[in-house]
Amino acid sequence: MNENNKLENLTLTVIKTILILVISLTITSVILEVSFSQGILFDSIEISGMNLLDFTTIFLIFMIPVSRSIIMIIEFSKSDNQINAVSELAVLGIILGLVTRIII
Amino acid sequence: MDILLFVYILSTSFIAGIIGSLLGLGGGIILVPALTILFDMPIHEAIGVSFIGVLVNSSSSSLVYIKNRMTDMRLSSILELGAVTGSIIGAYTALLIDSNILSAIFGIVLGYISIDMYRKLKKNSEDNNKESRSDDEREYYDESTNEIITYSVIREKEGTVLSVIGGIFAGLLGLGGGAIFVPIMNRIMKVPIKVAIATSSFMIGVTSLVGALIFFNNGFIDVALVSPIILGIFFGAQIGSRINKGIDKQILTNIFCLVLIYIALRMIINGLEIEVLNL
Repeated sequence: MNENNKLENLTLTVIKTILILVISLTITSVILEVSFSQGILFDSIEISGMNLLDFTTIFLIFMIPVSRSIIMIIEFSKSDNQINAVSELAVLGIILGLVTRIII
Repeated sequence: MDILLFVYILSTSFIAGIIGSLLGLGGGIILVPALTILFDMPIHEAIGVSFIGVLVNSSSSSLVYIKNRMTDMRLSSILELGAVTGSIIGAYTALLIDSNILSAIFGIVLGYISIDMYRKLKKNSEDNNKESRSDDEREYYDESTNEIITYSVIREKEGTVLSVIGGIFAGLLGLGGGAIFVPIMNRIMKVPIKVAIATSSFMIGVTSLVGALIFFNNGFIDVALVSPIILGIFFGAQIGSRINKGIDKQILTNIFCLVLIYIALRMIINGLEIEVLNL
């Protein structure tokens, strides 16, 4: 039960933190867009066809399932739930494979 | 992006977030038809941004479910493998399918979901899985009865294989897939309905991520729409979960079943390109 609680608390903290960051960045992006400052501040750096702020927001959203998968793999391995750990590892492998495809 | 369009998309996502949260849906079920019917957006682009909305909605609702100790993470890790595989198949299939056919498929699936939702409401389906037993006992805290409920998960292999189907629909149509994952867990694996909904909500994060990555790679996610969708869905879901208790769910579900059936028919008609007197 304690291991379960630890996994839940860790997952909760990570999702909450990233979600707060995403919402804050999105609100910042909207404020900058409305005040026409985004172009001056962020458009000079472009990644995958997006400005830095949009890229960071999307990257963080994508990081929510990735980071909780990593936590689950670590915690399942520690608690000897090998089937769950391997299954989650396979899921993470698939996600990273898709990310690699985008980068390449 | 035009400010007026931003406000329209924000409002639509906000409503999708509230309805999704009130009815236990991902939000994509409202977002995709709204973007295609109201904003004349190509269905592939609507599905692409819907994945982002579903991902945000799933993360937001998972916070509540995990906090209430209702999410079965072990079960989720097993089913996710099948769901992710299905989501890849679904997303790549969606990219190959003509938008009219995709619209018709969306309409049919939406029709099925709304009829199923209405049927469940009529049956007033109560949880009958609290008594299922195996060697591997698990538990969750039921806030409504203030007690710890013990349950067991059976037929894990079958569940994993069937979750591929849920994943296919999630990847194909930009929905969460909860309409399929929940019955698989509840009816086949004998998981209590509350745990099934919480676990499905948690899993949807991964299936929508996979769909989003594939659509993003193929240029079907309009980055300009991401901000209003994130804000709308997030705040809509937060408000939906807060007003949830004070609303008569039976009346609400009845109304939305009718609305969803109307949307389903519109999507089918659009897909089949039938000219109907300005429906």
